[in-house]
Amino acid sequence: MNRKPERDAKLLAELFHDNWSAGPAADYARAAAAIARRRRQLRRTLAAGASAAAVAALWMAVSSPRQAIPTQLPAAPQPVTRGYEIISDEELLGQLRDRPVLVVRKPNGTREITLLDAAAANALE
Amino acid sequence: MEQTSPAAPLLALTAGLARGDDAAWAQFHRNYGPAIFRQLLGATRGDHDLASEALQQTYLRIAKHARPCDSEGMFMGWVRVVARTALSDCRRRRLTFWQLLNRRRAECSEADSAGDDGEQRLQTALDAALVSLDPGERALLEAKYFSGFDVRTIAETLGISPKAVESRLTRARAELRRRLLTLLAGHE
Repeated sequence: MNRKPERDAKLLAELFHDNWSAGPAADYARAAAAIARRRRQLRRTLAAGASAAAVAALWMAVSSPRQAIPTQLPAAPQPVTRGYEIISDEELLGQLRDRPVLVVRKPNGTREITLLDAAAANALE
Repeated sequence: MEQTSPAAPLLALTAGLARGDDAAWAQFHRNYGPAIFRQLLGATRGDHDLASEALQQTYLRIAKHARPCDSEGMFMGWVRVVARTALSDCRRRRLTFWQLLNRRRAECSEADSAGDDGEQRLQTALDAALVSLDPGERALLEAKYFSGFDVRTIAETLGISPKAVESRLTRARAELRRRLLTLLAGHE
């Protein structure tokens, strides 16, 4: 008598589940198939959703107007444009030496000193 | 579990399992299911309720994790591991904490050889139960399951209707199941 293990297995299976291929045990296989389908569908849905989200994010990144980024350039040093110059005593004496000087008294009591060249001095005299 | 249908290569079958294809699952159930159930029945020492529950869990896990595979050895090894872990989880759910501790203590001495030992015990019990059957019932079961005759052929040989053969087979299976469970219970 041929007693292959799979034939024993078939006998044992049908001892406890009368009709193995179509009875209650086959429901296990049908339920498993349904679960596998659901999981596959879920995986596909998630993958499609993730792809769509990635495409949307890419599209938004490409199509949104670029805003100029304000850049803070270092300010160029401005030339000092003061209306007066402070000089030392030596410089003042050097400029006054052998030069005519015009001293004008102002109404507020201050005096304004102006260096004159020789021609201007002659004209004043 | 050692056989596959040559018409459908393993790769196509496992891809069908992963897809949740009903035809692939029916084929898997027909070709691999009995061997998985036998493994579980051996491991549970004939507790067919627990074995059936573990079989269901095994199918669900295969449904969740099946991937296309073209290696029979690899696939079979994986299926056996899935069945074993499914059975362990079913047992764990059934047992209370203290029962689990007692069970663990009892299993320590036979931990490694339990699976093969259980299958061997099941095989021995099945042989003994078959031998103890009425010769007519035994011949009927052997013709159906070991010689591979279908019901119609057996009916023609015996000169009775296929429905009568089905009835006799049902009775013979019930009697064999009763004797098998008695023998397995006696081994405990």
